[in-house]
Amino acid sequence: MMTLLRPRMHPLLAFSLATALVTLVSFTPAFAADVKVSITNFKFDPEVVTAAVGDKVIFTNADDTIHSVVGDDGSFHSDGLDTNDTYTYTVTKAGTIAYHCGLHPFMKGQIVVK
Amino acid sequence: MSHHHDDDEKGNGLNRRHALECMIWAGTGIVWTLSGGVPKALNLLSEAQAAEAVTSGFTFLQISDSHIGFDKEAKVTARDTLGEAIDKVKALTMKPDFMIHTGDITHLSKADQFDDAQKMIGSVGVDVHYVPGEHDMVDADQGKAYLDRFGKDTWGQGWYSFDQNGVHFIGLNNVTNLKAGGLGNLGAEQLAWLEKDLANRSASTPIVVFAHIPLWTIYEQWGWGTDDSAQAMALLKRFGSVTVLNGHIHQIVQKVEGNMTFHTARSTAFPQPAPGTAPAPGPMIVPAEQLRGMLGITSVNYVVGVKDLALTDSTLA
Repeated sequence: MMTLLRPRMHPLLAFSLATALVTLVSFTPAFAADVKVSITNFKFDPEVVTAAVGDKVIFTNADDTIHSVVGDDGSFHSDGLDTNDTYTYTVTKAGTIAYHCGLHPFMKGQIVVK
Repeated sequence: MSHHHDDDEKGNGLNRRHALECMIWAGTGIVWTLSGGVPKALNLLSEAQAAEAVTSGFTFLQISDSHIGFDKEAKVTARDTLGEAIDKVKALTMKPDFMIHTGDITHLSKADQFDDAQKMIGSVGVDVHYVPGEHDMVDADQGKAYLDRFGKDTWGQGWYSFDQNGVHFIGLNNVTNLKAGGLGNLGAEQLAWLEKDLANRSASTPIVVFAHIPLWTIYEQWGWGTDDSAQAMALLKRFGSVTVLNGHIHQIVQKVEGNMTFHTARSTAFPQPAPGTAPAPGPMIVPAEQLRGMLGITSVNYVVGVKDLALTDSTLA
């Protein structure tokens, strides 16, 4: 299907690629935001956050004991976070990123990336 | 109240030594009851003196959850209270033959925390057999700090076994790669090793299994159990005497099921709430004068021919 359409789509594709490039270069950094998640009373708060590619999700441990942030797919993990320690995860792709605490795996959270 | 079974596997019955041990233990008031009631905390010294009269067998000590680096309790740090626990051990008239540490040696897996703990615990001057807690595996490489130090002569992620006076000891790791929503985890590789480790042993070999997270489910909502412990227990079932020693929950919980005795030790650092009595299983910050009554160590006495090991919990108070 792509092969069939390609000759006709080619100029459009080139246009959208150019647009995407412009968006990436000039707009994404301006919109990159910090998304905050607090770790309080053995819960990620909020448990589900929404973010965009380029955003930073900043986890702060507000508990008396340590926690960590570990991707369910094993692709990222923080060190142990003591009280008031932070861990920053930079969003690089769209989709839902599920994570948990490596010490207390009943603590779960999600980053929904648009 | 007797810790004996009429069907004593070795068929010793109530011989003279047997009776003597019963007397000694009854005299100190510390018998492991089959109903699984909480043992009375008593002076370790009197227990140790009693043990001294026993001519065979051995004693070892369990230390757990020392959390070196934790400093949220009023007036004392985890280092202070571990120091007090070690002083108690050194004051025993009879030195334990060795010690086991059931994990959470450190709070944050930092080199200086491991150094401190090892130096303090090592100052007793006996062998110490460690297993990791989840707090010992939160370094950047998720376990390298622990394994570099304690992984020598172990299998996989730090599991191993050894024998002492005919008792087979098995140290397990159930804190690596905990899965979202799950409990403690042994994993297929470790279970396969365990099966092999037990394969050619006689069912009359007394077995002691130690690991950080309880190997039976105490409170699932707080992760106080091990997902695949049933598979380990199935392998251990044929043995006549199995003692399972854990930490992690910073309080004593015990259970007897058939030939298996399960017991969790106190922490030397901070107490945690009883299951479900708080919104979360975080450290209990208690008034300084109450703290030492909630911290402690466990002494285990094994006597040849007596099926059940005698466990004594004593506090730092």
